[in-house]
Amino acid sequence: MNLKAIGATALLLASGAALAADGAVADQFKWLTFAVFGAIIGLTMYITWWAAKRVHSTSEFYAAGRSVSGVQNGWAIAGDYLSAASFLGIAGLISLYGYDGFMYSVGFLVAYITVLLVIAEPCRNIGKYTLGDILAFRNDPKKVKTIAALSTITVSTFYLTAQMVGGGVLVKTLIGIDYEVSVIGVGVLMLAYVVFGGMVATTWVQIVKAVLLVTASLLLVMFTWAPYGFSLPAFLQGVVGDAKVQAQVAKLLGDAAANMSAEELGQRLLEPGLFLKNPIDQISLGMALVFGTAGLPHILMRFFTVPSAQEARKSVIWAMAIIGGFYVLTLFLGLGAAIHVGPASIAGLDKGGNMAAPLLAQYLGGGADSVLGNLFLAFVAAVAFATIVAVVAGLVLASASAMAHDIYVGVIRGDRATPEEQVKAARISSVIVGVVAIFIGIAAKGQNVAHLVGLAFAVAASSNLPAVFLTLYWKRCNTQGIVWGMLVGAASAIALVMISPNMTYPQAVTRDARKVLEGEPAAPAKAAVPAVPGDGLLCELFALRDCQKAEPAKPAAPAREAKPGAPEKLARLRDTLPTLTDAVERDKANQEIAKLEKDIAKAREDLAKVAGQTTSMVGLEQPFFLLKNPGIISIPLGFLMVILVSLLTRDRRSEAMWDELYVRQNTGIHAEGATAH
Amino acid sequence: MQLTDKHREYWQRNLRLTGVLLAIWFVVTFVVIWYAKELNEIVVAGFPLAFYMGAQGALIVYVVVIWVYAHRMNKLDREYGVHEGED
Repeated sequence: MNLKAIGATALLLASGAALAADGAVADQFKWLTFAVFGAIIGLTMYITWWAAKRVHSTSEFYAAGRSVSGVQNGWAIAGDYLSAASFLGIAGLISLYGYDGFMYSVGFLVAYITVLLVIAEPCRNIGKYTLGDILAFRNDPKKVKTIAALSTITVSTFYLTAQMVGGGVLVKTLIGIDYEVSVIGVGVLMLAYVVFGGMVATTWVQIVKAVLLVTASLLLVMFTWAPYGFSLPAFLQGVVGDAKVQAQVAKLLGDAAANMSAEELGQRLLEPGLFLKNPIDQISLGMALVFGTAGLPHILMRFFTVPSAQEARKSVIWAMAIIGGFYVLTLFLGLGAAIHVGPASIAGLDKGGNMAAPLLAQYLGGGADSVLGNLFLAFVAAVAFATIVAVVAGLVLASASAMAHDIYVGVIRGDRATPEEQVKAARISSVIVGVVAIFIGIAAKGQNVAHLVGLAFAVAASSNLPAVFLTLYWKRCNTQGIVWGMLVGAASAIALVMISPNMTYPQAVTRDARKVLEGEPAAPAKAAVPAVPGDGLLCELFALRDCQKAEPAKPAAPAREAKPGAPEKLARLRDTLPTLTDAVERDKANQEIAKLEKDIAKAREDLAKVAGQTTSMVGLEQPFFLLKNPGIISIPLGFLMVILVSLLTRDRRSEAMWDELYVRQNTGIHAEGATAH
Repeated sequence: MQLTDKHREYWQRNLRLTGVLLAIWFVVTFVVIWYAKELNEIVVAGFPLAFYMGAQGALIVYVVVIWVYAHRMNKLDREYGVHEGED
């Protein structure tokens, strides 16, 4: 559940099939959507054409010739960070879950920028183009470049897969073209930016996209807020008093809502606990997000594009202000969507809430039947699309630079390659990574890839961050420590996810599918259960025998009648349908029938998929690791391995280079300067 | 390159600044979330405090933290003569 929030792109896939039939845009307005998409694609292609004339040297390809100003880089970082997941997903979560939606946007997602205080500036001072360059400064270049490249490619591939699948589904949902065509479209566009325009085009596409995104959100917020006289308390009162909001909270709380007044229900949306229920899982995810983003290779690369340390700092301020401002806007977008569109309608189109912002745009423009409403919708959708393509381009550039610069030039050619050869290698690598991404995107059709985003962050946090942080700040840190720390950090993150609730457990799938098909038996009334204290942290993390997990108190529940299975309900509905005379009731019954048919088909499909299996991919009947995100274990483990192995081994070069690093990382003296043009 | 006492002093001041700012960051981020329920007892203008922190307060603190860092570091750079670029 948690991971879905950040992997919102991936969530779109749940709605893909449903929307293809009766999408968000009516057929007679499709041309508008195409026109707006065309205009934005045209603009980015013009940027690429302009950039292509400027990209000749290695530094220009990987680092935009170190000519990007602090302000520009700030916008580009914001662009990299504000992926479709944060734009569509968080507005959606706020519209459905209120306060917990904010916690996503603010508590964790934004906090990482501050971590960049520690990492960004020294990295820019000692690095050249890649993560491998940073680590190679005082360690054995061949070894650390190989391992850094492997880690970069792993992280980027996980993230890329989720983005490709999300992008494919988004385009399919909005303009109704095939999933495969959408994925290829996203891939080809992104390759065009990277191969022809390198970092110059990638940076400018990010800047343009970030400006469009902020502009679009600002406009929507103005329209949403204006009726309340731009007063925050008045707006919040409007939210609390809204019947649709109260209904949503009552639904989320279930039995507990029985004794609450309408006002109390509305107020509850602004309090925590509607979405995130396990604080340890929350902290684990938070750690992965905060530390992971600081270790994401495509974000680190951004700091190589600025000419000086001052500009690097300036770019962090700008990025923080833009992203912070943007998230204040999402508060209005999410709550605005909750009032105007209603949580029920949003979740009806997409369970994860991804359609909240586009639907709000449609409403504010005048509704589903108006030209302006559909123009607004098309604009928001096109910006979301540009967002996915731009983020994917950044990821591909990061993987390609790891392959070309670290592996090919650094390890295979021993740093002896002409600038022409290097740029050629970078372009070829980009094409390879891009084509692989398209294939993976198509192969992953219909898969739930949401957990891959959380995994990408967890690997980056457990492998890249400890290595970078310790090589920058700890004298004893050496090559062996980094190699082992990165291996163990990445491997433990991946292994823990393999045994976590993210994987498919056939017995649970079977149980859920049966519940849909056969219904549930009647349950007697339950007495209230007091809270059970747990046996300690370990029991919260792993499903160990004789180990009690802490359980919160449960209120008494009244007896429940038996629930019939979906096929039974369907038959009953079909029987009553001919007797209905009221057109509204008939419509409702028909919708209900369509929904039941879909549920039954889904349950049967699930049963067929797991037929004959009793254990997950790694042979477990149920999750052994109880959290969805491995961060809380794998991040400390990554740090610990670097420290332990470094203490046990000696590396003269690592120690000898410390003084030089010490001066340079903080002063930037002799750092890669701006290249002469 | 030789490491001078001046460099060491610069580095110490840099570390101290980073440490203080990260401590503020940690409190605003993790401590507030951990105690969200307790903070919600405090009500400002009809709405709970943790709500405001989540919605805007934390963001504003982050921007200020980074601004202070950049401003202090730029000053430190000039003071110790390790300033890059022409501005």
